Amino acid sequence: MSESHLDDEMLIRRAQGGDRSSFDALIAKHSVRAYQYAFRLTRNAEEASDVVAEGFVRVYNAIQNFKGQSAFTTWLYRIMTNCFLDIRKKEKSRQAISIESALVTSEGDVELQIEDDSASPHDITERGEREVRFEVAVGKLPEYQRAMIVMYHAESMSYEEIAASLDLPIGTVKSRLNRARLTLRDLLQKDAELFQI
Amino acid sequence: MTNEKAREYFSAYSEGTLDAGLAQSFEAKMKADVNLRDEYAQFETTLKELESLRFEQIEVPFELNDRISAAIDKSIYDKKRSAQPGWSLWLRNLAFGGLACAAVFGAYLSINMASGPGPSLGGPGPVSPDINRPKTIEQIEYSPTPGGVKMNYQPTDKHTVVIRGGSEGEQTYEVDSNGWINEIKNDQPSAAMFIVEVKGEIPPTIVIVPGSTRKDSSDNQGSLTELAMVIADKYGVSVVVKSQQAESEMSWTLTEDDARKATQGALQNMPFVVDIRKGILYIGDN
Repeated sequence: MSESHLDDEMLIRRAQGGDRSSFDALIAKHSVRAYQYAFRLTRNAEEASDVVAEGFVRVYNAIQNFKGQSAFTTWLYRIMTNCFLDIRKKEKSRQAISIESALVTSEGDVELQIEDDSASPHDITERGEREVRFEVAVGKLPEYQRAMIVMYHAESMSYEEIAASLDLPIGTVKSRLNRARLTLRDLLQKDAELFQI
Repeated sequence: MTNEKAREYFSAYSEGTLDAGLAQSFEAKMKADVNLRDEYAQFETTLKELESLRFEQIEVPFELNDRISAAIDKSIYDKKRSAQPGWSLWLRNLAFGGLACAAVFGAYLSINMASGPGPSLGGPGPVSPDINRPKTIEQIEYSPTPGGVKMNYQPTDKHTVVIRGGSEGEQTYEVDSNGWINEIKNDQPSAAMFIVEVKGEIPPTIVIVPGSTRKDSSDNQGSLTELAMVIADKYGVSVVVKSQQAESEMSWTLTEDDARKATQGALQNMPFVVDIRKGILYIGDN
């Protein structure tokens, strides 16, 4: 029987004992779900892979501290969310620096290259316009709100699981998730007015 | 109930988890306020759209697990490297070695000049090198070649040299006083990183060989190693990094035309020393 069929508890115990193949089996079991979560947060394949790779490095380095008080997946979501938030924070400071050091062209003009994260016309023709605009709106949510929306609506996690993953009281999760939905509704409403949907 | 308060109850009302008394007040408020009713209708539409998220098909890259394993391997390697005793004298030794060589060469030259043309004779003063004595090179010497870096090593004792990186993967060599010459090459357009480890020596040496095309990277933030790769590609110079802090995060602006000055500027006020010797740029811990 391959190791990937063993349950998480057994694999974690073996990995804690230094068995790398058991850790690899944990990766094999959970990497797809972790990637899908990361992709939904980032909407970018490369960045999602970075989040997942960095996330599993953190899991590996902290596996000795995992006491099994929550499910492994809950712990994994917490780590992946923190990785996503950290990478975004780093990215923002990088963008701030590159804006400060604006490019000067050969003609002496100052040129700023600002990334346009709106949907491309190609995206819009390929998929339903409303669907694409909805994804863009989710992408515009503040990172923390986006993580909650994805956990609840895409990953089908319960309020309790989200609370455990983000280390927040359930009441806070509920109120923040409500606020995230309201923000999303506002974004979609503005978008609809702009494009007369 | 204010509109703001009513909005706080949108999710709970929609899920049917709002307390009966509050639900009654909420409904009364909605009946009385048409705008709020519209807002709630839009909210419900948003919730329905959110349901579509779970059905989205996401393609997972086939090499994902390999990428995760590689990231873990690198983390283990970096951890082991930084756990070892501090290394700080390598570049100073190199610099001192250079000075000593210059001093010996200078003394040798002055004797020759003093004794005039013709064969130099022994006498008082520094002894000229004995050509019969076997020469040793206790630290790997690096020198640039077209598209690569030559390594020359001739230690007194036997050592194992491991080179990682490049298309050949990991290469291991047993080197002794008979000497060893090796060349690492990079025929790719971008800079390539090689890790050269003499067993027992911590940290290993990172050798960056520039790519075949010069390019000015827009990256201005990353680790010391990433800075070295940017410099290699921008100035077309091979860079040797020997630092406990090779993974330190930093940001830089490369404004100088000269590789050494640019690196010194980038690492200003940081605990590193920069030197250029025999066409190789060295970065080490100060």
